[in-house]
Amino acid sequence: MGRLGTLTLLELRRRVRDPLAFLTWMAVPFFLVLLLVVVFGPRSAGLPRITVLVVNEDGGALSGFLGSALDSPQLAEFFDARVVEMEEARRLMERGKASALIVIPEGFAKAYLHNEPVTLRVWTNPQETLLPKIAVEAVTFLAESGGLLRAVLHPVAGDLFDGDLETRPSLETVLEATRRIYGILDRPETRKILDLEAIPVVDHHPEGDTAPTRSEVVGWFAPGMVALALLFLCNGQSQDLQEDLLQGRLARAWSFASHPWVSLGAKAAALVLSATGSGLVLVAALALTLGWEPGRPVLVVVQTAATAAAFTGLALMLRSLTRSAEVGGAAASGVMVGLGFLGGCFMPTVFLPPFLQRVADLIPTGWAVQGYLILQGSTWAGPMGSLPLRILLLAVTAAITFAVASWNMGRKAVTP
Amino acid sequence: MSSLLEVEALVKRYGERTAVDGLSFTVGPGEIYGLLGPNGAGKTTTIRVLTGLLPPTSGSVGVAGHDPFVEPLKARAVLGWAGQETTLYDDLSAEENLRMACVLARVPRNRIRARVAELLETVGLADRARDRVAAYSGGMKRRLHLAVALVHDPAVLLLDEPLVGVDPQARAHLITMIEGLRDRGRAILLTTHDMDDAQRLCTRVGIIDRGKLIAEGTVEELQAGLGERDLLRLEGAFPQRFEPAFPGGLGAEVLSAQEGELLVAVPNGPRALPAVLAALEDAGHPVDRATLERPTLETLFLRLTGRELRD
Repeated sequence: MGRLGTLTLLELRRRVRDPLAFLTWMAVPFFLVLLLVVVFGPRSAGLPRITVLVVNEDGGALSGFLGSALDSPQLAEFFDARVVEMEEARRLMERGKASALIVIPEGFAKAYLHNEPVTLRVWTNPQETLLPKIAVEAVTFLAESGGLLRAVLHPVAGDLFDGDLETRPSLETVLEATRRIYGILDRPETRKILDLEAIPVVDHHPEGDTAPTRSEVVGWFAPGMVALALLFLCNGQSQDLQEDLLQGRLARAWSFASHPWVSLGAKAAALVLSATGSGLVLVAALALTLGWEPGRPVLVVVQTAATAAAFTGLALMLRSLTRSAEVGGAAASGVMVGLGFLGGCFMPTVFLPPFLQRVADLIPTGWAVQGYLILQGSTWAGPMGSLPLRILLLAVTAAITFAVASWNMGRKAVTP
Repeated sequence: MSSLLEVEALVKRYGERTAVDGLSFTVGPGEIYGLLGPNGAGKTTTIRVLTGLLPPTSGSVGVAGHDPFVEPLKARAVLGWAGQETTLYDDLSAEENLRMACVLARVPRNRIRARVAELLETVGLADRARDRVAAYSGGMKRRLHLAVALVHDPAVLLLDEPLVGVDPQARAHLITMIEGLRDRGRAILLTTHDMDDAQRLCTRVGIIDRGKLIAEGTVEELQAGLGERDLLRLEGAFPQRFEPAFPGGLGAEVLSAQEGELLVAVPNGPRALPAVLAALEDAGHPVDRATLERPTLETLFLRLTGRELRD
């Protein structure tokens, strides 16, 4: 083994003497992915049921139809409809216990049957934004459906109740009305309106479980989290090299009969190797415990090494611009968080505005996350053929940033 | 005696500030040259230039005949440097620190193990060789720090304040080590602002102030420069820059006049003391306390610069 190899091994030994630091850097993103899987995974709670209060001031059976419609098997999955008195409704709304309150006014059924104008009032919870809107949309849909039904059945309804909603119709009247309703429903023009098959709706959602699988959810977040872990690990490790500079160890190494590149190269190689190893441990942990499928192992190793090299160079360059470890750490962390966000480490870039998505294509964190996405088969991030370009970009970033960092550190190391 | 270390009209400027101003000296084999001066006098800058890490503004330096800027690797191959601060890897053991230095100093691979063991024995750390340096005392770190500079058995040694901040036991050990290196013919440049260290170790001394060499010679030669005079340290209600008039026949010279303290050089101090006290009493500044001292290099520095070494 040559001098560079021996020095790199000794530098690596310095790194592994503090395994707790590595475990911390790797454990945090692992548990973040685990939490995200719990939140978005197959056993997640999904959207909460929307509590809707119904106050029926009309009191009739027809008015109760609206409340019971929200309670139907199809809508009960989304709505928790409760018919309550006005006083109880006010109390619950004031305490924020419901998303919406629907008041069916007195005379609603009569006006409805006689095709007269009628208004439904809905109060919404000001503390909520999305759920009341869904409730209002649902009520509007039901009201419009009721309007259509009224248009079709109005003649029969008028005969059936004969304008008197208090008197129960006779059996003969009901049978006659039923016969006439079927007659109306059988008419071709009615079927055109009511037959839902006239507008076919095809559900393309996969059959069976509608929630995403665990490995799918891991696949959404793992690429970003692995890149994020490497970003922070490389930043943390780069502090050691800055301290070597500030405490004179770098100058001391350069006072021996070896070219400065030997000692600096060994230190940088040790940083990249330890970051790569740690990153691969995280990838393996995510694959073995959460079922992540990161892609071909050889390419994952290359991608991780390129990412570790680029992020280490970046962290060293940022630190080489500052005069103290504290300022260097703060500056590097700030830049790293920004790059992590823009690169899609915290969330997939598809959630970002289009112009920010384009930024991700131009920065090292973006190339790193995209590389892992491509490797796991997320075609929206790019075809497999575009992976070498991203790895090349990361390698070029590493080369440029290492050169700048070395030049800056070399300048500072020799000044007493 | 040919010189192993040569500094000729060395100038180093940082922007407008001149750190080293026309410094010249030589150090031969078996010689310890003490570069004496207060903090900021230019000692560390001079050493950095000699290691080849810092380019001079003008002048020339030579290490065993090699210019550290023209032939840096050749110069460094015969040069050992132990800086003012210990520059060890706390997370490695003493053995690993020395191995790392051996590799950097291009010690042949088949010699590294033996050289490391030899140095650990020399600095008295063989029994703690595998302990992490973080667990070492300050004195142990100092000894190891010096050992790192010796891994390639250099002919020239640059020791920047090697005895600062060490306990008496470690200090004695380090002094013995440095004397041993001198006896084996190494040329040693030692910077210090401690006159006792210089008097104990150095064969020649250069006094440096604000980057300039203001006196040079053996300790005896420099002390002779003060003449056969004693020092009177007088305490009383003296104003700053007090200039008392002493009788001409006394031959008294005020070296320093701080508020409340006068330092006066006189031939035959015990005989002159009553006359000095009387002169000050007559001037309206009676003396509260008087101390008779023998002249030292510190006195010389004071006479040459008007300032104490630790100013």
